[in-house]
Amino acid sequence: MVERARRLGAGRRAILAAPYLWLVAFFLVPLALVFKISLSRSAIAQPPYVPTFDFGEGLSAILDKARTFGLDAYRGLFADPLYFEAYLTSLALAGLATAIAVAIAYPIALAIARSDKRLRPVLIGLAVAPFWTSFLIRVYAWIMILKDEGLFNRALMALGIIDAPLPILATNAAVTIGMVYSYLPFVVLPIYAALEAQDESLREAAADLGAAPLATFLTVTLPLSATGVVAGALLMFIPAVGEFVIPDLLGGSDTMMIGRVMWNDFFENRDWPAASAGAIVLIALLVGPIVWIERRRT
Amino acid sequence: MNDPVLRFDRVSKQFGATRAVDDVSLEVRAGEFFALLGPSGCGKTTLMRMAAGFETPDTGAVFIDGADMRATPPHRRPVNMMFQSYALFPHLTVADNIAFGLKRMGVDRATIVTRVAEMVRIAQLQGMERRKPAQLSGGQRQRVALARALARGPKLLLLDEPLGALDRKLREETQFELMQIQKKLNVAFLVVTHDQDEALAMADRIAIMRAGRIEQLGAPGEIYARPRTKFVAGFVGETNFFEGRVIARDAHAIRIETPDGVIEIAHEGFSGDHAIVSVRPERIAPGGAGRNSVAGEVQDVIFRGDHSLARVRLSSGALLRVAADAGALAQGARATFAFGANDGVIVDG
Ligand SMILES: Nc1ncnc2c1ncn2[C@@H]1O[C@H](COP(=O)(O)OP(=O)(O)O)[C@@H](O)[C@H]1O
Ligand SMILES: [Mg+2]
Repeated sequence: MVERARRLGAGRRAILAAPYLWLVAFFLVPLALVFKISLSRSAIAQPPYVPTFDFGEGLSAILDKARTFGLDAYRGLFADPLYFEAYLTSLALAGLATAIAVAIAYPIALAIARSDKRLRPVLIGLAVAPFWTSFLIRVYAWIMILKDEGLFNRALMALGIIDAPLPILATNAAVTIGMVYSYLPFVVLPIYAALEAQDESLREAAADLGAAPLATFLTVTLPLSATGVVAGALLMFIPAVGEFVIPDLLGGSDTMMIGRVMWNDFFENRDWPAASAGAIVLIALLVGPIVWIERRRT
Repeated sequence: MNDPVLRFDRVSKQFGATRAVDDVSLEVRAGEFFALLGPSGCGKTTLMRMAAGFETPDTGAVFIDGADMRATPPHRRPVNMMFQSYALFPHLTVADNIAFGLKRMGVDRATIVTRVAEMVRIAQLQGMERRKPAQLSGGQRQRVALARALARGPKLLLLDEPLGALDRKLREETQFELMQIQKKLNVAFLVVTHDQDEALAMADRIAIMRAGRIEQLGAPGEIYARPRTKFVAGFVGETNFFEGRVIARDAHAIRIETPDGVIEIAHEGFSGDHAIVSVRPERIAPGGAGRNSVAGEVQDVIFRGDHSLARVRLSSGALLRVAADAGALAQGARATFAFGANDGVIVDG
């Protein structure tokens, strides 16, 4: 009996270990590599930094080289106001876009969760339908919509609301619109899942105890869907902070989001250590608050 | 004063092809313990939900305290309901669950605190106030649901299978608690149950439902002693049926030819020529004495503590249930059993 229990335990552990192995292989190892590069120095070489390691050269040589690791890239980061500004802009734009997306996604998720059971899979399918076309093409489409002689401005002018086109394209507003649009399904899905899982009898109990529909929403439905809102917001906010394509296509030359700054460091300046340090700091900025939120949730 | 707290006036409700409630009229009087008893799926919950406002009758009307409720949404109805699943708010503490309905009434905080404390005491939940529903046992959750539903001081409480989720021992204790609370607070209870023992034990009056209709309504003793139909007789308590052609009658009794012999049963104005008779097991005694007697072989004896229930195979092949003193009957024994003309009740098919 004990033997069998132990073997079952081992099997269970193996299954539970699988996601951790996946995390180690595809998240922690690459992260460690980035961290290593961030401690290196930029150089005109292939790859463009030193030191690089060759495991054939023996332990003492490797240790010698490791001693040349330094925090130069991080110092550079803090000395350059561009980085600081880029972090702020990224957090602000991603935060604003996430807030707007939650405000739009919640009613959509609620409407789907309250619709006829047979209709729900169809509506969810429609909500994620944009994923069937290329992300890049959809962002390009927004250029067509937002540019001076685009759909949006022409419509407003035709309606006589404005006389001259509003300069939206190449502004932070365009970036925000693009991010809201692109990430909306990621926010709808977790909120929908939380709302759909709610027991209808809870709402009936609230009504039975004298709560009008709005009071029921505020005291029962909304608090019980908070986990879905937080999950959806994080699912959008985290990638949005490091977003590169949307600010590059819809933003102006002055839209300095951190993803774009890192891109420049990598591909234009070929300063890999600086870009890596930027990435590490970004992760550090995000991980702290997220761990705190997750702690509070459980 | 004379208005019933709840009145269903010829209500019906159809779900697709199912007639869940079929032309039901009944009244629940102030302060009474009323049980809706019937097998699963007979429409008890649907009927109760029409009182709470969660279902709208297709036809007919619901009156609470004399007022027509047809245009009144659930949150404005002066009744409260205890849900079968309890439907406790998982994100709120016990105290906040109980306070929920009070807060919606707009009473001041001090009153809420006092009232919650009173409910906690009545439901014996002292020390649990800060817990969440997930940290409670089944019995405790049941009491929170009851306290929450009673907190607003309704004149009528609707309870859907209030003991259904409890284990057997707890059920009995809770049964008595429910009855005490009901009498003490003088609230009318409309309790839905499929458990006849529960209904018989607790209720002042019982309505027996079958396929959306009320088959009989009356006090427990009356329903047990004078079931009007075969269904009611079989559903409420154990019984034996004798069935056959009426071969003789006078003003007081009829004689029926059954597969197990001719029996004589008292009647009051029964005029049919085919009769079904229900005879309770405790009305049948082993031995020869009594107007009617049947013979058979004891097939098995089930020990029930205070008495035993014997099942006797009659010559026709039918099984007769006889309540007997423990040990008086032995398996395999052949015996005759007798009952009087007043021990049977003629029921409709
Ligand atoms: N919302 C509903 N939709 C469709 N059928 C329902 C619904 N509610 C109840 N029914 C049907 O109505 C009948 C009565 O149900 P119910 O009132 O729950 O019975 P009970 O409470 O006596 O077990 C059942 O056949 C049930 O399947
Ligand atoms: Mg039911």
